[in-house]
Amino acid sequence: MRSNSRVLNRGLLLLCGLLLAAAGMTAVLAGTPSWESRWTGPWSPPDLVGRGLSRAGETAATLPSVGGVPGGVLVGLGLAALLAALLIWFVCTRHRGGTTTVLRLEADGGHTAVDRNVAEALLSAELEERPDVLSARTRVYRVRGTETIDLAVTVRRGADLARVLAATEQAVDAWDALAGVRVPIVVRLSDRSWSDGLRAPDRVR
Amino acid sequence: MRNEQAVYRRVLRRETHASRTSAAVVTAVVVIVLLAGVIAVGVWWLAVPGDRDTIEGWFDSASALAGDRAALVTAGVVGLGIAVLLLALALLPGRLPRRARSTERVALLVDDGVLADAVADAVAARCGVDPRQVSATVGRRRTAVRVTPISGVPVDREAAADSAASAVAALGFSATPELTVARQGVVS
Repeated sequence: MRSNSRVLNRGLLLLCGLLLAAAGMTAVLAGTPSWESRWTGPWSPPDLVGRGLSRAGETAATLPSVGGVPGGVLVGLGLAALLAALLIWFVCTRHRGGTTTVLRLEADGGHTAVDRNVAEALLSAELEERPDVLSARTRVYRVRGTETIDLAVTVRRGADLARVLAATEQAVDAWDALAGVRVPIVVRLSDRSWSDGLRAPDRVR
Repeated sequence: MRNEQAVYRRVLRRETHASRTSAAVVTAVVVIVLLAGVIAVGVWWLAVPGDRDTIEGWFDSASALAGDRAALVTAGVVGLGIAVLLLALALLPGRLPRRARSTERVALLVDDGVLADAVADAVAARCGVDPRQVSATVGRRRTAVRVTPISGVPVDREAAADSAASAVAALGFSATPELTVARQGVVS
């Protein structure tokens, strides 16, 4: 339920995949003379790479040197630093969207902010007391500018899912009555993970 | 209300498809490490003029390696393999094994594994066998149920299939179960 851009994730993978595919193809063709001889002319990959490298070298040589340092080296280092900074920004923004405030109410006399813990107490704590529920946790994310509650419920094997869902809807009704406004709620009934096997061994039959 | 449904549509679309965040972060970190190496060597080359011969010697030995055809082909094949993996991650939809729908009030996401457990339990209860004798797999298109009966006790296929379908329908989803009954039963 994070709000980071998935297009960027896929875009980065696509760009790196294409660059690596081009480099790999060039290396394979350059290392296999029988194939290289079949793919000749100005568009053969090793030829393209060779021309590109020599042109980059020529351009770098024409750049003026600053304080005795070749301009090509400075530009190369600057570009590498810029790209590294962009990628660090990309990595740091991958877990965006979580918030601790679930509701903001404005009134004439001031404003009220409702913390995530209130939703936790009303939604998850209620459900966790049920014997057929292993765990329930509440998180809040901003989706399209709207605070949205993510209620993840892990059920025990053998639980009646319709009953668990009905209990969840009851808890949501209680939350709606308290909050006074409708907050979007996503309910997820999740699989047990390996760590759930370490929990208390009581079963429902 | 309209905004709520728009939020649900977006969340359900996102939560039923892989985000590719882990793969993208790993790729970005690898590129950052490579760039950091390049920047470190560049700064070293600028800061310590006495070491420039050593650094240029490294580049010469790397260029000599590029002249070795076997090394080139091996590196190229490894690069192509990783490229295919990255392109597949970028272009395939990456559907997650879960089902989604929105009700009047909430958006609901249910893992296929949870539905499979419910189907297996419902079929076991209907056929009067131990839940360990029923296995169920809920996929995007097909729901397969396999029952190992108690020796000498026939399995009511229609009732078993009905109970499997109603276990899924209890959460508002639909499925047409394919029931398989093992030829050899077990002694309960």
